[in-house]
Amino acid sequence: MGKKAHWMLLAMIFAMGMLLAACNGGDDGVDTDADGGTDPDSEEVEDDGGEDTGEDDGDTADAGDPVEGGSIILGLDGEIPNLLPAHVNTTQVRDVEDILHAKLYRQQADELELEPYVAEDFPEISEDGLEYVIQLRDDVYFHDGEQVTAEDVAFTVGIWLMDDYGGQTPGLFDSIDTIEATDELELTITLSEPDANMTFYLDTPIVPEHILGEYETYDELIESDYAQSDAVIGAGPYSLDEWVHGQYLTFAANDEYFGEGPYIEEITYRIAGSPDAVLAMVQSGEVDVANIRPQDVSTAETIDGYTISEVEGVNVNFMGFNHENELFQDVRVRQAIAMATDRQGIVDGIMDGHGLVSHIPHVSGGPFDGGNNTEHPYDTDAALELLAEAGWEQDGSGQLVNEDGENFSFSLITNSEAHVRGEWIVAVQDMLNQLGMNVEAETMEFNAYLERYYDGDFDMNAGAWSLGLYADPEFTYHSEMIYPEGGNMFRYADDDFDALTKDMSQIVDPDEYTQVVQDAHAFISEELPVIPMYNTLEHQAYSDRIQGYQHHSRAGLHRPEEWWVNE
Amino acid sequence: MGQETVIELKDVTTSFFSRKQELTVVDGVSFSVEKGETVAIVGESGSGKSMTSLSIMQLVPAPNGKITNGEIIFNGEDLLKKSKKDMQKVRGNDISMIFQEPMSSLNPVYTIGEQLREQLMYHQPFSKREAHEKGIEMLEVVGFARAREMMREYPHRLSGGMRQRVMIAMALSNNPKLLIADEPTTALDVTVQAQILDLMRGLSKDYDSSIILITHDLGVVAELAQRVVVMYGGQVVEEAKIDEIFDKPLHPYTEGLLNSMPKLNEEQTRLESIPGSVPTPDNFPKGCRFVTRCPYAMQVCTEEQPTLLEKETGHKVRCFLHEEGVGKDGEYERSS
Amino acid sequence: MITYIIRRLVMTVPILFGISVVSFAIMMMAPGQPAIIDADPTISPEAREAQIERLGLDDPLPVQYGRWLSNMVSGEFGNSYISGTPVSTLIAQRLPNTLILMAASAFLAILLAIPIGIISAVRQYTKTDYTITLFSFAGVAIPNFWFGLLLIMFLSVQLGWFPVGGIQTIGGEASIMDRLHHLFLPALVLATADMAGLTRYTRTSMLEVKSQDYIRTARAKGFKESRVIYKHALRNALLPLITIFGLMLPTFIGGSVVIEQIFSWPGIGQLFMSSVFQRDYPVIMILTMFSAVLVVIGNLIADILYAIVDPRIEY
Ligand SMILES: Nc1ncnc2c1ncn2[C@@H]1O[C@H](COP(=O)(O)OP(=O)(O)OP(=O)(O)O)[C@@H](O)[C@H]1O
Ligand code: SF4
Ligand SMILES: [Mg+2]
Repeated sequence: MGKKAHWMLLAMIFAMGMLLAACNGGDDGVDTDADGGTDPDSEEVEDDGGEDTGEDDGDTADAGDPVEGGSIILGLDGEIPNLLPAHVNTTQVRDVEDILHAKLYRQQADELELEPYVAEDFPEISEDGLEYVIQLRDDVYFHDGEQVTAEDVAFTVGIWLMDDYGGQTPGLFDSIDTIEATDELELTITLSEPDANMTFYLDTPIVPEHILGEYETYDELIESDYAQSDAVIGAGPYSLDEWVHGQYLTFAANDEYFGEGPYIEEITYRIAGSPDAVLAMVQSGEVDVANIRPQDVSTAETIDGYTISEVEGVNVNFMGFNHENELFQDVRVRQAIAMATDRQGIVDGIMDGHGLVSHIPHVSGGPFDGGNNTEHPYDTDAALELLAEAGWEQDGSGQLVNEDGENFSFSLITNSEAHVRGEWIVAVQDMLNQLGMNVEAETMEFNAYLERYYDGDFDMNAGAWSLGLYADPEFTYHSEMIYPEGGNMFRYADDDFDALTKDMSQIVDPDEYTQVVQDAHAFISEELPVIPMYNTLEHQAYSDRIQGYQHHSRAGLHRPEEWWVNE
Repeated sequence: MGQETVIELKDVTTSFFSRKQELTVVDGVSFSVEKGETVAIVGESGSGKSMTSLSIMQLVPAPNGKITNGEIIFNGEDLLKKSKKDMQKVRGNDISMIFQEPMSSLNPVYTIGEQLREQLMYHQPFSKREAHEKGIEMLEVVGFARAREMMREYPHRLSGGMRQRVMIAMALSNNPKLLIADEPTTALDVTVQAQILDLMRGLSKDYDSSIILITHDLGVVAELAQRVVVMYGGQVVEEAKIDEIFDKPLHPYTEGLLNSMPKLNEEQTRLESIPGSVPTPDNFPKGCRFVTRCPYAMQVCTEEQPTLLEKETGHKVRCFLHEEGVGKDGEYERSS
Repeated sequence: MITYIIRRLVMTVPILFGISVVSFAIMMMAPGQPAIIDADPTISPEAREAQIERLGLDDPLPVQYGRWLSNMVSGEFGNSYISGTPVSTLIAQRLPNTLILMAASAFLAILLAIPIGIISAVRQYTKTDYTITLFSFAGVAIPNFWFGLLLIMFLSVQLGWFPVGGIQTIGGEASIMDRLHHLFLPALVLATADMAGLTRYTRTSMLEVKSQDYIRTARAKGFKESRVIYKHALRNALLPLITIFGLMLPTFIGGSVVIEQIFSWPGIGQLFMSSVFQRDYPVIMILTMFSAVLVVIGNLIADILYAIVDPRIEY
């Protein structure tokens, strides 16, 4: 082979890899816990089935009293790269952390709200919102028998504050001035400025200071056995027994666990190469629990010995406007576009019903839904009227033109990994074109899409947010938060909205904070800086052996310590 | 011919079949070879010499080439009626063949020794050691001084002449009753040609083997052969003893061939060659195949095919000039 | 021979250098930032800047390339952004799996393709030949992943003959049989695409050799047909295949990327895919260079082997 051929071949392999990744992406995408996080396949609903999904809509399935023993296997479709809690923040890693580690606060079993876990109660917050005092339970022990203390928590949070921090969530604890153990089981945090979401940040795993304290820098920590091997220990319901990279992790029940359970003796997380491989593992009975993509639901329903659970996903799909584009500066235009978009039709027709139309950019009916939102029901006549008011009328050939004779044309972009979004933006394109607009729908690789999204190089975009337990509309829509200052990719600037949300993160009272969020969402539902589309429904297959099963869209295995198996 | 006949071809016809047509490249060839005799087949390129010899070996390229007619009597048996297996026993054993292309006729990935031994052991109950010794002996016979070392060499290390000698050694190693040499010297340079010819002459004497020598070089014929078969367009056009061919060739084509041959003793003023070229099988003229080039061509030659007739004892010719009632009264005209 | 090998190795240096420049450029010019930085738009601009600076991604490309090159030359392959693991460790964890997969499929490809190619050539223009030709074109045309999923559906899910993926039964004894059981399907699928090609090459090569003069010589020696084919023709026909096999290495590497995902095979290919998606630059670069070295060395070995088996070639 000539030198040239070598060159060409390698360039081709390389290019092919890039291409393959583009076609396949998403699975390893990182997702975030915050409002504004962007997850390439926060949903990929696309269904061909048609039946109703399940006997059971989510939460629990009970049969008799719990029994101890047995084992289950969970199929995961992504690698666990590292188990240092501060480092990577993928769903797969969180699935491991959830059973391995204890946290000060955790997500409630059913509601989208926090509950104390290792903490005795919610923090006592000073009047000025700057000091948090948290008492810890006294019965929580690491897997090596050492007690979990306030020192451990302070140490854990301190990892984020290390100078050479190099993980995926820098700045998470930037509002912290000091954090210290004021007693063995008392943690005191002082903030440099109030931060309404501080408590939510504290749903991070607690790692043992007595083991990791010897590492001085983040780089040392990240390369340590504790991050890289089955030396990891936590205080959660299961301890890590064996970790074979790229293949599986096995966990053993922690008999000293302070909460309910665990009943199941052994849990294995089996790492599959792709979502297709996960499905095949369910079909062949090689795993007991696995997430099912919307397009696979009808297939999964036919598998004997499994039940398909359906829950509302903690995510929202939306269409965003670039407000620097003059076309979208008139609210009537935005409202007209919303009214010309048949959202229910998209959910029914394209997603086969696996979604719920939402009018706020958050979980519809969740804690941040005040119920006082403006809906923009599908009504093309009303849309045309609004457009006419805004100066856009259909000409003889049905094209929308303004008084200068200009056409209403723009592009709508999304990423290709979320197949269903690629489908529905085409539907939206058709709907809007029927109104006389001239829309061009464009689908591209996730990284390319992100670059345009961040740079404001789009007219309209279609995306999805994987949501957290808190919401921060100021960060996403406030005019001072226009990227890169914050997460306002839409370049939205509205004085009323700014006034409503200004410094909301400094509100100390949780109820007051929630109220502001609800008001902001109601505002958004009317003014439409973005058009909320829908929340997806998520599905998980679980073996009929499993009793006490629980399902939550934010977890791979939700509270498996409370499950048991019938052998 | 009071002698023992080694092989006799009777009306052998070989064709290539394609989807469109049948091309007869060997057309009713008959001749015989006596024990100890060297018969030369001469003719220009494409006249069917190689195909005739491959027909004897039944190595006409498959699957398109087929022997469609005739008999080849060898040892009193018709080779064409033999089974594949029996024919394999004949090849390389009773009848050997050496080819026109010494450079490519040896297998490049086996040593000379391996190739020699293989053939010996395949047809005779030799042990490996015996075969080895016999192989060395054969290499010595064909004139290698360092025969023992030669056994270890790969073909690509040898010159063309050396390879052809190896081929001869192989061909002779099982004492064949008949050796077919298809232009054994054509691809070699002149001095080497002479060596190989000497070698063959000596061998035919020493081993008393019969040889079919294919060539288009009449000089070689003069040195080695006792009898000559002249082929043109897949047919035998003349067959005679060596002296008769040179002294009184009957066929105009033979005459032409002789004229195109440099004569050693005469002052060479010009070298005649036959104008035109050999017609290809898909393009044979209707009558005499030589009619397109024959200086004596007559009307009849364009219409009918002449037959091969024994003009004198042991001297056959295929030409209307020599057929009763056609050429006798000199009624032919020059066509040119 | 030794000097030849050394000369060849020296020659590969500029090739590898070129590959590294091109790969680096493509990688850096591809849109998007490493996932370790770009994960979260809630990150403050200062924190983001700090991350970019920490990784040195704010330097001009030539500077970054130079740093990478000098680190690599001094044996420092760097750490994965995502896992923090030294790239050499990542490779060590996964390379054996990929090599096993590639070796097994090479073995299967040879074992099946060469005899089939020979039969096809020996029976040229027969029904057998046409059937084989048909199947080998199908083999080239069918995408690997599709064929893989098909086999998983039928042989693993429906019939339960093979596990659906992985390299061994989890928690079970790691017996050789268990490993082979897991290995078979992915190796077969990886083998098919190359097998088809290899069959065609074998057929062509065999046909070419069959018309050579020395084959006629062998026949003229009275050898039976099987000896002519298997002793005299085969060895010559196989010679060019050694080089072809060297040329097929890249397709093998490319193919394993897909196969490893479908069959949950924890090898280099999987690692490469996730690294590309996450823009894990240190891993991408080393894996690319690693593949390049593999291909270059594979070809060198093919050439050396060729020289060993073909007596005509000398150095
Ligand atoms: N495989 C083949 N298929 C079709 N025709 C062939 C094939 N081999 C030879 N021929 C034809 O058979 C005829 C006789 O060829 P042959 O090789 O016997 O000639 P030749 O007298 O040996 O010539 P040369 O002096 O060139 O060796 C030629 O017209 C040639 O084109
Ligand atoms: S038959 Fe006629 S054409 Fe043929 S050789 Fe004799 S004279 Fe010439
Ligand atoms: Mg010839």
